[in-house]
Amino acid sequence: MCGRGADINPDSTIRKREKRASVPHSSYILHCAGLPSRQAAPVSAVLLPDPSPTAVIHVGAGSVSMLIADTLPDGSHTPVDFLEQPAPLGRDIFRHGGVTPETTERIVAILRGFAATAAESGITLGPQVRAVATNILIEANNHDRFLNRLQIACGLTINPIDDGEMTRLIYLKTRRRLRDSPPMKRPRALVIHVGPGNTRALLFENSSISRYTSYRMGTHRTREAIEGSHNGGPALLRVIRESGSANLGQLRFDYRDTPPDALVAIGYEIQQIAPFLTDSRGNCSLKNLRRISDQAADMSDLDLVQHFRIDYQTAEALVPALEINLAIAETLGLAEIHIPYSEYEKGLLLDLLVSSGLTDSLDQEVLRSARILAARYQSDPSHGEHVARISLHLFEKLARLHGMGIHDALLLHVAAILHEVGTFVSPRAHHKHSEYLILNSEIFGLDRLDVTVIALISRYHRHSGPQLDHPTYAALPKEERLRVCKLAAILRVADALERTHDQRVRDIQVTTTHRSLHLRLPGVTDVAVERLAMQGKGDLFQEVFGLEVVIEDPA
Amino acid sequence: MSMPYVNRELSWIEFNQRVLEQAQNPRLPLLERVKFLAITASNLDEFFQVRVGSLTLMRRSARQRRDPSGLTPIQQLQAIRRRLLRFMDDQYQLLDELLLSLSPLGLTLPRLSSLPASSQEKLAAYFHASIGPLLTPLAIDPDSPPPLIPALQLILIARLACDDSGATRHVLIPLPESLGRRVAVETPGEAQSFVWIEDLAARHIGSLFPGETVAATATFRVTRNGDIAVQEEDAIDLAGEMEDVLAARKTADTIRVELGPRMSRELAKVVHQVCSTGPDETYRCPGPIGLAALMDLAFTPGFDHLRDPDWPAQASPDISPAETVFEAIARRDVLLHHPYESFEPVLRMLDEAAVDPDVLSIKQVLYRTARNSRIIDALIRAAENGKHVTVLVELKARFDEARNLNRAEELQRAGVQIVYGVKGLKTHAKICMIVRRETGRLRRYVHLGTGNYNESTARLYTDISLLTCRPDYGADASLFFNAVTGRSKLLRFQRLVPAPTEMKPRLLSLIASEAERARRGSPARIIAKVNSLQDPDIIAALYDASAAGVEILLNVRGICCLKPGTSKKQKNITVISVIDRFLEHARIFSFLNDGDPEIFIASADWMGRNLDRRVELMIPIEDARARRRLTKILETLFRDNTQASRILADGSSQKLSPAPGEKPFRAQEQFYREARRTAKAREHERAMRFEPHLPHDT
Repeated sequence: MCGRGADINPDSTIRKREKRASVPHSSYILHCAGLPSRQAAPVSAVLLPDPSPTAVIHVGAGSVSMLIADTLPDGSHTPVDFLEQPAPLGRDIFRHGGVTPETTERIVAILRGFAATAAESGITLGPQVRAVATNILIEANNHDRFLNRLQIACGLTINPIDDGEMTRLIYLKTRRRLRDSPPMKRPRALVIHVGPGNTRALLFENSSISRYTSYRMGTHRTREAIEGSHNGGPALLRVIRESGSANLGQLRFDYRDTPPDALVAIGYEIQQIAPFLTDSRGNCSLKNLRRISDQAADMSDLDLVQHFRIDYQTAEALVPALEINLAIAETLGLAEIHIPYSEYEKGLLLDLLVSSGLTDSLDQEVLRSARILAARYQSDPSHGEHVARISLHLFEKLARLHGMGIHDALLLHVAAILHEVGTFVSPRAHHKHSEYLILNSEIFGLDRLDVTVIALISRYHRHSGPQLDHPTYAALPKEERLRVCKLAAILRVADALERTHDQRVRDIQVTTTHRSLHLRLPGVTDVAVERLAMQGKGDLFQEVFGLEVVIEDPA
Repeated sequence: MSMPYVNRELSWIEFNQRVLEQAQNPRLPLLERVKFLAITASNLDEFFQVRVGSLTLMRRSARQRRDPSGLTPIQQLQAIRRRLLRFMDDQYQLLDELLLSLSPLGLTLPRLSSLPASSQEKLAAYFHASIGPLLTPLAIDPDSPPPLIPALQLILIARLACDDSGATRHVLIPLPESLGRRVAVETPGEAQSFVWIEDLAARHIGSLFPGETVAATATFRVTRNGDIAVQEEDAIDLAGEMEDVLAARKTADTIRVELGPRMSRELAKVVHQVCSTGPDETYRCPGPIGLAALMDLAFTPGFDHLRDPDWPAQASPDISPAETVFEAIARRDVLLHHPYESFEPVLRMLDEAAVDPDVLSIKQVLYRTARNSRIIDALIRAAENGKHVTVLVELKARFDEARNLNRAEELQRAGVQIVYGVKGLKTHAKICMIVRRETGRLRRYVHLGTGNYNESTARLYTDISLLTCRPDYGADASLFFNAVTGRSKLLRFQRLVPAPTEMKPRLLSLIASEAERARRGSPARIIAKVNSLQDPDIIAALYDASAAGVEILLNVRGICCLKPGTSKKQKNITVISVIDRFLEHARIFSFLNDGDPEIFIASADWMGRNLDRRVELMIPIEDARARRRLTKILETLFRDNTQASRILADGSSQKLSPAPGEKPFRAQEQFYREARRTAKAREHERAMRFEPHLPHDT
């Protein structure tokens, strides 16, 4: 899995983590009931749907939208009301570097209108309502002040969608709405999302994600980058191509070994005009896409608005959207592109209602992505998987002690798989290499904060434990540092038990006293190696949980 | 313009002619005929204010653009005048006939001079006591600007001669509308006699001018241009601007002056000077001015034998009095055919919503409401009970602006959130949505209709109401209100078809699809019932469909710019117009669609103003029973051979009559009988089934 174009501001890593694992969504009450010991199947959960309607808000690059939905007894949601108002956030960010006061107040007015509509459905907009913003917002120099203003004016806590969540959403859309579409049944289908700032590509092989890449190339970013050219028609399209040429070259390189045989394009602008592009099956030939892109490039924004029945914000980004999608299809040598007819924004909001509470298949995709990364750096899979099994077993048995949730288990699992990737660079100080490699990779479905936590857990699997003079660790909020400590402590114990790298510890009996953690290893006749390893690795566990790790003699 | 097209103004006059033909119909009771005559006059007043007003503005701005029939504004005004002079002759000739017929039946309007002296004395006394003190003469001073003459109000003009000097002067005496047009004359028995108030006033105004003698009197009335609208693009405060427009209409240009009988040339000259009018705007009336006042005569108490028997609205069989309207709608869609079926369920739904603890919000569009509107009362009550109530009051509803302003203020005071329409467009859609919370989920109940939320006109206009709680209709209704209240842009609807964005393209596509089927050799048919058909694009599409072989049956009450005919383009098109006791107002469209008809009701006519410049809704009907019923309504109207006319190629019409051996068939009567039969049957069924009162928890 390759990661291109670090389009997430490092500041985002110090954002407070949205409560996810323990309270996945305001509509659910989740009771953790322990973990299985052998593999990372999801924590079984009892979901009790709250029958009252719920709302979700998205402050997007070109519009602000709100979905009100009923929660059904099975926990799924039915849309009840959907509102959307254009607002030029993307234009402001890429043209001025920040959100202008006019746009800020426009969005405040929109949200106040939404609040009135929500009230009519018995919903009070407040911190309990999930509200997110486009991830390009973090590129605005005043994004904090902007979000503060919205919070003060409307009582909403709005978090930018991070890269991880965005990929989760694309995945969700693919799973929920595109799964049965003919292109997704092809052996290698590439789902492309040309967003306002970035383009993401998910390669599905036999319905599972095999590659995820992203590129710093988006509709609004491109529009503003070419704004000064004052060109129209073919010249405009040429400028768009030129501005994206490096990214297109990278895309060609990324998929040179696994050329997709179907292309699915999703995105706000292109889906809005899907009826103009596609046949009854949702397919658009490149010839047709090229024709409409040419036609649109010759039109003024006003003409685009009238012809395609879109708003001005969409019109501004439409030509880049068409041309980037066309360029991608051409780069990959495909003759046809599938564009879903569904409403992008409404689908996004519906997915947002469930994305943060996702486990099941998404976690499997995350793990799959981690394994592909581990394989890329030739990390010993048997060792990694076995450390993961032991880690999760300990995590489950020590649930009362650590008090962590299902998402933490996933992070531990991924860290266990990846903790030795640094040996690809050098066995010496490989824990530091692991940290670096993980930090600079993308793992499908995980946001920057998750990736940072995993990198640090991996780093601390040996040698020194967490220290405040480690910059990445020090940059985390306190609760995240604590999370790193707890999970690294468990990983070190598990790694010590797999010191021999031959998976000889198959069974672990765990007991605790008020001073120590007792581990019995049935089937292992001589535990000297593990004890020796634990002397070097049990220290963090003792520091964090106050329990000395004791490996008992064989019976 | 190569397309056959009838000028819309001339077509409208032909519609009014069909109304006049009702008044001329000797088979109708006399007072019904009087009513129709009054309607023609009141229609004409509005026509002058709006249509002639608009054309006059065009003429004054020297606009030469031709309409689709090829006429310039000046040519249209000339043609209108020529046609209306004939029309007015017909009106007054008929008035004489009707009054002559009413007289032996005990309802008379004698000349004042023909009354016995005792009656004249009593009338004089009445004038001095009750009329004279309310009159305010306006002097005409040649050196001062002319006085402001109130529009559509009868004015008495008098030439006065000074008893001492013999000098003459002119005065204008507006006769306040509040006095009415008729003054009762005491008569023996059950007979009733009246004199026109202007005759009485003319006889006695001398008492208002001591020292002068009334040398001559006559009456006149002016009509002002009513086609003055708010410049919305610049409007910051629409309500304030609307008040200014209402004030401006009072002083707008005079576009018609009607001169009463026997007005001398000298007095006419004075009138023209005062009104700044000339011969083009002048209409001489051979009888009393303002025949709309005859409506009052038509409703003179007693004389029921001179009127149609009452056709009271029937209860819908789909809504039991024992259940709430919400329960009935939750069971299945309810379709109401007004006024044969009562508007009561719509009113009840709002009444129930106002006090229902599960109701969270009510949203409604109000275009024209009744004087003492029960709907407004319910909305106010709901707001007072803490519901979120949002009402779009269309301030630009022509001639209802003042009432709507007052209504809006009244609602606002009660806590209702008010929206004054949509900028640049009139919101004409008839929609109401009620959101209820039911077992933790939101359910939306929607009323969609073809007529206004006006319980008074709902007794007189034929309209369709659909009450539904289908989730996709509710979602669309919500999108609609979010859009018109400015909370959301207009998003893609699932079922409803809004104008001005989608409705016209959809109609054109539906028509084109039928044409395509016809070309394939499949049966293809369009049946549409609208009030007016004027949109050139729709007409062109219908011609194409006709040429392709689509059978097109149009039921157009009013303006029809399409020319049926015998050419290839027109030969498959039949147009009828039904004028009967209820005003045909429902818009229903049916497209055969290969035997699976697509059926719609709509708030919009097939006119440019509706499809391009108004917020309207076209509603697909999905309930099988409702679809059958609407199809039957459309077909039944085409069976009418007593009240229907066939529209001819020149825009005029020919009354239909039963063919030899054919029974007379009156569609509206058939609808009434069916509604009554169904209601009775349901009543009988309920009477046969006892519903025990059970303990609450069983």
